[in-house]
Amino acid sequence: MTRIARNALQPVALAWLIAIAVINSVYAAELSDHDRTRLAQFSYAAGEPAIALHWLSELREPSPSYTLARSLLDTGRQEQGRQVLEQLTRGEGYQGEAWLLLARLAMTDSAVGNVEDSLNQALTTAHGAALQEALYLKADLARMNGKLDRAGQILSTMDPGYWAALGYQAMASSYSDTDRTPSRALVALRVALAMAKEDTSSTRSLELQSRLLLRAGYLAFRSEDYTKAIGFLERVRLDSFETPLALYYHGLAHARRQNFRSAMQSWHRARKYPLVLPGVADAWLGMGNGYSETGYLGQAGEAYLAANAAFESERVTLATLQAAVESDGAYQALVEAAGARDEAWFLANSQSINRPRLAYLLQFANQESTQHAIQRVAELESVAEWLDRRARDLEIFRTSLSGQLDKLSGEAQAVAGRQDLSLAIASLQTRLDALGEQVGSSRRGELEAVASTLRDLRSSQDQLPGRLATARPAMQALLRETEESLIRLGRLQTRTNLLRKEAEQALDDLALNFLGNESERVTSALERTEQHIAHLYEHLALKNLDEGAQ
Amino acid sequence: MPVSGPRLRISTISTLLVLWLLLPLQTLATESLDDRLDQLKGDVAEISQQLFELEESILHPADTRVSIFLSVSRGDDIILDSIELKIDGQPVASHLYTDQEYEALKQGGLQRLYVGNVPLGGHELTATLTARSANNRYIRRENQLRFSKRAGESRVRLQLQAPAPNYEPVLSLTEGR
Repeated sequence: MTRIARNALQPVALAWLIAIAVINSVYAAELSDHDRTRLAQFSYAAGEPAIALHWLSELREPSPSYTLARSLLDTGRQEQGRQVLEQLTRGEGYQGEAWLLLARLAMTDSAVGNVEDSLNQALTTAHGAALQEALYLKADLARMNGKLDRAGQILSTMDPGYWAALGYQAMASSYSDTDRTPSRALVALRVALAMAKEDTSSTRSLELQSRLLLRAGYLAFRSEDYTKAIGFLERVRLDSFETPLALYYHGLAHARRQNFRSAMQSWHRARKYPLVLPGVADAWLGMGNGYSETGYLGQAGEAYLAANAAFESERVTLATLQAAVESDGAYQALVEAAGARDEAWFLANSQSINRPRLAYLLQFANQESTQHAIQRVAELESVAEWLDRRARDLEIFRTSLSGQLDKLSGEAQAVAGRQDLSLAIASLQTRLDALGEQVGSSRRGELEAVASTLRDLRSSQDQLPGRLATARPAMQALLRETEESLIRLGRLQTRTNLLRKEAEQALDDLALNFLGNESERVTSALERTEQHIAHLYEHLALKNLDEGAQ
Repeated sequence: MPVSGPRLRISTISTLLVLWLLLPLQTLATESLDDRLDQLKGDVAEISQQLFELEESILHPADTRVSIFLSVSRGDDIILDSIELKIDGQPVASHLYTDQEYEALKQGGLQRLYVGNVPLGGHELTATLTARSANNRYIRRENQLRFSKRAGESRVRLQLQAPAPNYEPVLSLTEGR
């Protein structure tokens, strides 16, 4: 039956549907405020703050919410976001989170408030993860002001987890700056390790543990406690960003204990990582030293020559990258070519650290200013793409709406179509009435559903003349809105392109500076290798002379 | 040609002075770029909201419009990976969930899985979901549900539950306006 009804609708042009819809949309039942808030909550979590704002903007009784504040902040409306946060601090629910976010805002711009005041308020109102984050920030503030005991006291009140681990890691850094011995720093790092294991995010926990272990290993190595250093460094994961440096120090600690075989095993493994990563160039040189120290001078020479070739090849790679940055820009040469776009590119993983170009990107992005510059270009790139897509869609809408408006003008066709539909509905109703007397109770429900559909169709049909009268102006209004939106999109596209050029130039400068420094580092490593080779040949020549004289 | 000592010093000092004077300007330029980016993002978000509404009006006529929403109740013991929707056998929507998205659903968030147009009358909705249970067991369930499209905007609400003791995911459907 439904199929017959659908077929009966076929002659009615799509224009009718749109016309009916345009009118009906005015009367469509609205979603409740509660549903709109819930939809905004999901849209924000899905990374669509603008859509979240759309849902929230149509609340019948607007109220400040944490989602609204964060969506405003994420879409660049700092002042409006801050105002919503301040309203939240005076209400119930999300007070702690609001104070915490205000403290974070004050950290980046002291004009918007006092960090300490906001943190104190967050500590009295926040719960769970927000409270832990506030405690960490409070402790870090005390630490940066030189009040290490106070920072330690705050950290001791924290629950085990990510924030506590970060706090103890920072404490270890302060202790190693001030203390002559690494004892306190190592104790802090051990506590940080224990705290990091309790982190609920396993990936983040493992990454942090690797960093902590490397730091602990390095501190132990510096204080000549090689056994302890090896113990820490052995536990660094093999697929972390820290692995090559950990392997290098692991080898060095073994070498200091005259265990060159183990040392060279570690350095050999470190050599397999891209040269840009810390520790890899040293590991290449270490191999030559290792052979030299153990008396295998021939192998030492081969190892130095291999290092020489690797460094030469890296210089070529760097020159190629520099040329690519100069011609295509850093974003294209490093970020897009490394395939890191639309990913959390700053997070190292086993795959990325084995890909040379991505390894360069990771090393390049290891500084906050660089991350910021890349992020800025990425955002502008995504805004530009979004604007292009919307402009294309609107062009299609404009064409389609113009076409529909032409179709709507045929009044006679509309009336004819209406008569066809009325006849089809009447015929279906007759058949339904006839069936109603024959069908048993088991299928009565189906009949009722069909009857209800026919009632809806008839009702739509009856309202059609009234709807048609208003459809044309409504569609014209939509067309006007579409055309105005296209003009606004065009202006935004121009602004975006100008900003993108500026942001790309800033990133290019940073990238060229970075690649220049890397070139110098590789050249220096190359010179050291050549010196080693020269010394080795000199030594071998003198040895031959001695042997000849004897 | 060698440069004499005092001239070299004066030249170095003036270079440093120029650099020192340019440094704040450079910082200002960077801040200004960030500020302008923030302003652009704000304007883009504003037009995005308006276009969203405009597209809704043009693409999804209210009389034939049906919106399908998903919410989660008692979903702590499963992790929803994906959902696919078919209306009358035709694939209409699918979604892969991130941890944040599923967390938002568990905390009361509501997802509009699909908005589109269907004719008046009865329709079959097939929802296929994949999830992981607390013990990392992979779950795939296909649910056949029915709804009736009435005149005016229709809303179909799907609710996912995984109640104790077996934490089997159950999808229920309610219709409304």
